[in-house]
Amino acid sequence: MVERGLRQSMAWLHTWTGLLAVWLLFLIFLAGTASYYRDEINRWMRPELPRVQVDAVSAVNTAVRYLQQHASDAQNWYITLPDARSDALYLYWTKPDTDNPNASREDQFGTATLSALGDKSTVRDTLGGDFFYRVHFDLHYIPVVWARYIVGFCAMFMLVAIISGVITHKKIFIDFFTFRPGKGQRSWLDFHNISAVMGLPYHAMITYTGIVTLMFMYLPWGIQARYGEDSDRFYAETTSFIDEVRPAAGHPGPMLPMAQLLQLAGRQWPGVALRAVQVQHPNDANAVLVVQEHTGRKLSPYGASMALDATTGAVLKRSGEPDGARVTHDVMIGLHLARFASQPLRLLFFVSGLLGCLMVATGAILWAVKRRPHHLKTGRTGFSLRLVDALNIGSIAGLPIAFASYFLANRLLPLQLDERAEREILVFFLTWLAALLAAFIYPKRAMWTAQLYAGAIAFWLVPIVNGLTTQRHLIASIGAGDWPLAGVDLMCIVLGLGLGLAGWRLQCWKAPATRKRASSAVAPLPRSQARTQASA
Amino acid sequence: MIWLALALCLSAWTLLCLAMDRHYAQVYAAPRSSRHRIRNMRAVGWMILALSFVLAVLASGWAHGPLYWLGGLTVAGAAVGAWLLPYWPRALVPAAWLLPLLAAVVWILRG
Repeated sequence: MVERGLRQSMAWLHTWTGLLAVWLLFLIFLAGTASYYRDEINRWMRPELPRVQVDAVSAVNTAVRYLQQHASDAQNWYITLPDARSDALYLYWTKPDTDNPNASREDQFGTATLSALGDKSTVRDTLGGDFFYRVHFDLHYIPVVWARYIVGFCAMFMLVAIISGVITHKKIFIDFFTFRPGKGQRSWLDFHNISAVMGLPYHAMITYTGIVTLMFMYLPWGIQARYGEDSDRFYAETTSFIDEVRPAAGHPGPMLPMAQLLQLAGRQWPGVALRAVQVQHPNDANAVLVVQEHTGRKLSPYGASMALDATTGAVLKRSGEPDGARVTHDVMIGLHLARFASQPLRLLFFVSGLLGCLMVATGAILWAVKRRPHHLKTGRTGFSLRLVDALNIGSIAGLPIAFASYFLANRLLPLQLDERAEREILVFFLTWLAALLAAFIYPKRAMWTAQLYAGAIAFWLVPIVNGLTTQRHLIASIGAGDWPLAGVDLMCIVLGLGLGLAGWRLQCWKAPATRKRASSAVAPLPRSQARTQASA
Repeated sequence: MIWLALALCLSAWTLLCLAMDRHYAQVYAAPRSSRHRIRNMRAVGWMILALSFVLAVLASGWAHGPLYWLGGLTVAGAAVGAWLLPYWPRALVPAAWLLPLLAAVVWILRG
């Protein structure tokens, strides 16, 4: 590297940390942005579930009835209660074989999603919006630990890209509102700058807090230095999550009715809404009920917990008051998750996330636009540019098609299919793979246009297929005043419009040489310009 | 009240943007405004920016208010720079007046 000034080194750093991570970052940004509406997408993808608001006691009774029937020998039951945005009861239980490393996942734990009313409606097997949430840090098809390290690296590259980008942006205040469309590379840089600078507080926050959510995994040495191998004690001492209060007695014992236990808990916590309950060692003489506070509009997503003896109702343990470090950590995670956000604030977060996706996309495209003149001079496109072009088309235009396909698969796959949830996810990745392969075969403007149009059509099909296959279509949702649910269909239409508009503009785009030629007299083009048109 | 705070983000950005010669020329025929006007626009722009922050905190508290404000600045800023200015410059100033007016009306009627 030649001797450079600060701005130039920052520009180099920005380009490389940006480029190496950009396509995975695009997936992370898209899926993460979609996760703001995780609960609404969950509801959209489980149209069988009725729209209900039940009280905590009824919900818990429904859950426990199911669990006694299907998982009475479990080590632990976890019940996430419905709230204002979600309708379903999410059940999770650890089976007796959960500590056996040789046991399969099926033998280790089980999950179920129920209607809070407990009626017999069969819910289709789907991961719903939770897939987008999971994939943006756990990826898929690879061990979760590897995925989190990969995503962590991308996030740290992103953080470096943000900081180096700000340093290298010499005219950050002069160009604050500057966007000049229709000027080729200048326009791409302008848009990349404006989407980055306008969203700078958001982009910095979401990237940094994203890393914080997994910080104990990335930087474990502080805990190791203080607690050695006993990191469980660190978590027990600092989180509000109550781990195993007492070991199982080994013989059965009758638990008090849930209604009574919850009433006793309610007396200790007057007016507190519950997010989840946990039963440790159900049906055992040492069974414990743990209730967890719903944080509502609080920034921290971790509410207080309280453990009660399930056989007597006595309070056994309460989580302590979090100290400054804990609150700081929790609020940072809370900002990332945005569980506290009302619908208007949530929409602001969502639009900021979309702006982030556009920033990432225009950055990748800008690299290709900048490099193309060099390659055109030699007359053939080099390997690096071809690779970037293909990855750009397959990811930036291809991923939206995959997202839409996931929704379509939810409506079109047979309801009784084996491993249905995994098949929906397979549709997502197969679609993305197809887009990537097509892009590698023909990484030219026509492929951009084709994939953008494909994405537009796929998204417009979503509300249509929804209407043809379920009762919960757009008209019905609007008629019922269910705007969050209608929003999913509406957003699909809006995204389809955006993609269609982009495809149409690209289709109408003419190379500058062509425009000049059309307006001047008929004169033969020099050979280099003819090649420009041929490869465009 | 929160809608007024968000609408004022757009107004603030509009003023601060028009105080810059290159953007003034995009919206009006004149290449630049008078120095007097520019100073006023800048001052009022910053004041409205601060006002939108105050309203956001009054409407939603210290936890959510700043989040609304930053989100409003981001979305309004992108709307001004990437949409209105390049594609619809004549709609910029009307929008900067109309949106807060609408928000104020909604606030008065809804309470």
